[in-house]
Amino acid sequence: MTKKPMFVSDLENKGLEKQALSLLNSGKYKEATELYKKLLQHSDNIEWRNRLAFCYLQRAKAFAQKRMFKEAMVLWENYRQHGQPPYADFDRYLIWLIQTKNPANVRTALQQLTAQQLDKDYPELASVLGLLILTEHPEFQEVLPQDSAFIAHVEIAKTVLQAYRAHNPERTEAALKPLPYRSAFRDLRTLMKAAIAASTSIEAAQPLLEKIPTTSPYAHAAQLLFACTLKGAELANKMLRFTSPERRLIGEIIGLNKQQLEFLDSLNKQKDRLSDKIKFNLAIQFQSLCGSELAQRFCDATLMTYPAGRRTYEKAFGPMDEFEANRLKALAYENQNNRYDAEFFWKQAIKALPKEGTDTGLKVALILRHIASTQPPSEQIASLIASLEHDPGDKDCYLQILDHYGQQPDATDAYKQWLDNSLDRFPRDTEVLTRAIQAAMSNKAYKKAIHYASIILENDPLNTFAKRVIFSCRLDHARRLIKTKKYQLVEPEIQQAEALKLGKNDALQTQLLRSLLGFATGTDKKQGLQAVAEAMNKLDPDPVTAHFQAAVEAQMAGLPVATILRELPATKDRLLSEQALTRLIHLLTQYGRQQSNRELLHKALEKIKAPLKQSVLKQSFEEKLLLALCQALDAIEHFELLRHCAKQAQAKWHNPIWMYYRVHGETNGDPGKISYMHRFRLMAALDQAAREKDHRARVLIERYLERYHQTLDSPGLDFFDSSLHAEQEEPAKDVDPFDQLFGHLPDEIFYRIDKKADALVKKTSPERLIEELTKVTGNDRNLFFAMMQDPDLFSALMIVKAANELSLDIGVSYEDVLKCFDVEKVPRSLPFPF
Amino acid sequence: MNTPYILLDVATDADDAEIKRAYLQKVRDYPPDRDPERFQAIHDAYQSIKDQKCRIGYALFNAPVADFDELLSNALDIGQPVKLNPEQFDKLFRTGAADRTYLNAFVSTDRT
Repeated sequence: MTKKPMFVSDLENKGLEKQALSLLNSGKYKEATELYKKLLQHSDNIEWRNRLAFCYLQRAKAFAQKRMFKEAMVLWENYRQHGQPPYADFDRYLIWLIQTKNPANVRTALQQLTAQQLDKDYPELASVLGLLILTEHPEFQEVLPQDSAFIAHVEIAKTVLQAYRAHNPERTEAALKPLPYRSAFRDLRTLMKAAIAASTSIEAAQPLLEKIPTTSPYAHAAQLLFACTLKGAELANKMLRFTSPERRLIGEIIGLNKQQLEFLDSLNKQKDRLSDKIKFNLAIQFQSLCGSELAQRFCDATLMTYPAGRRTYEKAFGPMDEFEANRLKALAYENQNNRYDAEFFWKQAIKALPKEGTDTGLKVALILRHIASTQPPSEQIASLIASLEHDPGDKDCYLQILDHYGQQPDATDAYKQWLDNSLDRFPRDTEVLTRAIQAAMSNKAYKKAIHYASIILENDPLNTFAKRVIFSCRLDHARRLIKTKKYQLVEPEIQQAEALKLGKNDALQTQLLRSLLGFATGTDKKQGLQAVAEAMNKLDPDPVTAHFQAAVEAQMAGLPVATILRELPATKDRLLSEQALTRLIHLLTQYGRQQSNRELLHKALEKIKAPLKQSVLKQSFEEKLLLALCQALDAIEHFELLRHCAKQAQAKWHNPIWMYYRVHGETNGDPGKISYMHRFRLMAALDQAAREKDHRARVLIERYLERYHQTLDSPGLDFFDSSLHAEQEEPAKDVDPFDQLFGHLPDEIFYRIDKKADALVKKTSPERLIEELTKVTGNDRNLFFAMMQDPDLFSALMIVKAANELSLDIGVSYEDVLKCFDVEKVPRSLPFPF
Repeated sequence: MNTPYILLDVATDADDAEIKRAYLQKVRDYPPDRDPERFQAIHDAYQSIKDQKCRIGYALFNAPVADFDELLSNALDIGQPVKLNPEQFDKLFRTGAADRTYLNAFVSTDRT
């Protein structure tokens, strides 16, 4: 077949040119080359020629990047054939030529270099040529322009090397001086200075070597020398980057022995997969090199993550000490947060301890205390008590035991016994005495409390706590003396309290007590009452706090509360200021320290309940202050006021602590009374507390939920009962209706639905929701009454509604809920007697 | 590996007095106002080994740490100080020059 003669019109040329340009612009240089070659067959257009040359150059560079240097060179030569001088990337062409390892060709090409190119235009090429002339190809020197500065610098560099090889550092340094900073031998100069420094101390070379850039032709030599300056792990890690002959060379210089080099070779073979197992095996294989003790210690530690190595370990180091083996297993389980297995192995470790060994007893005690620290509070106590059998002098342990029993309401006898034990062992210890004082005060054993406080004062005469205890005991005793009408003994008590000279407020307190004594003993009651009112006015300028304190003091002294309160300014329509509320919190905390005061504090709060509620509602108290009030109310278990405060606070602030106090208040502090929605709200608050790092809220909620779970574990408790019906006694249900209805749902799905239900409840008023639900489930009055009687029914219906809104088919209908809650059986009468 | 012994710069068999002395010296060297974090670490270290009971507790409840770097350091311990002579340098220089990795910089299509 013969080719058709090609006729290319101007029009076709224009089309081809456009196409060629488009290919060039899109980086398709090969295709563009063909088109420009075709175009140039018809006309020697200079622009097309230049573009063809450009295409060749780009293709040359692309080949070089693929390390196809021969192809790159051919294309660059094509570029030169079609392009105009000066030719771009001649230096690269020469480098590619060097890469082809054909010195004869390199020599020929180098002849084309000018002095200008060598000294100014191609500094990188000059640097490469400099190194080649000094090492492998001295013959390149003679073909380069002899009038160039480069050649002069080559001579200097040679002199430097000669001087250095002749062991003459002074002459080397002198020879380096004429070498200018901006020369092809700049990095050689730095390297030589490092070499001179290394001849006295190898470490001195480090800072100089760091100056040589990684792209420099001298960089690898610098890295090799740098490795010689390193030690230990740094040396090992650096060595792994080099080839085996390079490692041997460095080893020879720094004096590594054969075994060390073998170690490096083994390490190098496995450097990309250095697992615990490989490290473990290396330690065993090279234990004599690593040091037997260190290798064993390393393997001990590695066994925690690589237990399969136990047999190899025992072959290398002999059988492992049983105590140590169990200790390591226990620690490994602790790392995995597996307390149960950890405890088992700790106990095994105790069994493995030598019976008569030094410190055996102490070790056993420490392990038992360590176990206790990981146990839940109910299990801790046995471990702590057992630990004292082995180490009876540990005060902290006694205090922990006391704290534990102190928190158990039904462990009074145990607390007393351990307090006596602690006092016997540590009769003058402030911390033990403090607990003894607290116990004595709660039992109204004032003489004992004063005795213990006096011992503290003997040790530390400035101890304010002890002074305050004595003051408080004296006053409490004085009140009891008034109450029991032993009036003649009251004044000496007051005087002894005054003798402590605590502060102005305390002096006013004694003045109040004296006025109460006057009122109790005086014949003129009116005058007595006026004195009490005056004292109260000084002590509590705010009428609300005055009423509260007067009510407390009067009850404690057995005096008529109403009579005394009538003498004080009225509290009606009074609102507490911030300062007055702070004072009230202080009084609640102070009187509330004694649990026996709780009832009279409740009675006193009854007298100021209305202004206190109004103040919380109307005054803009800071969150911190309301929180302190809630804490004080919680401590004395006044849940009605706690509910009120928490509700108001929660409307203003959305911190998880308020949800806790709200639920705590609404359930009267009994987690057994918690409703389903409350529980899930608490769980949401717990999440929020964890997110916001609110440690206090987290701890309180966790404890509350823990107590809730304990009530679930206790048979016979009605844990479904709602807080709204706290006072109603209902028989316990056999199965949790929520578990029955929604137990099949995965937690995350149920949690999602619950969140939605929560949002629905927040968005819509309860009346509206009840109305909607009764519409959906049939407008049955029974349902309305049933929901009023059992809020869990409402919660369950809300869960179904929320699931529907989320378009989740949970397989539970409104009818299922009604059936589950026996709605038909609910009487059609209101639960109220009207 | 920062054990309390290393932090306080004392031997593992040091007694209470030595440890206290080392602690006070460290506190003088790193007072809390100058380097609070370092001071805290020193203080914690002292608390964990200040007496025999603490030291036994530390030994019992601290898991051994598998420090591979420590192992490497021991394995490659050279002992004597290293000095470089011209013959050794010459070998390094020629070995280094034979590595042509630096030429890769000329392979890239862009000039830096």
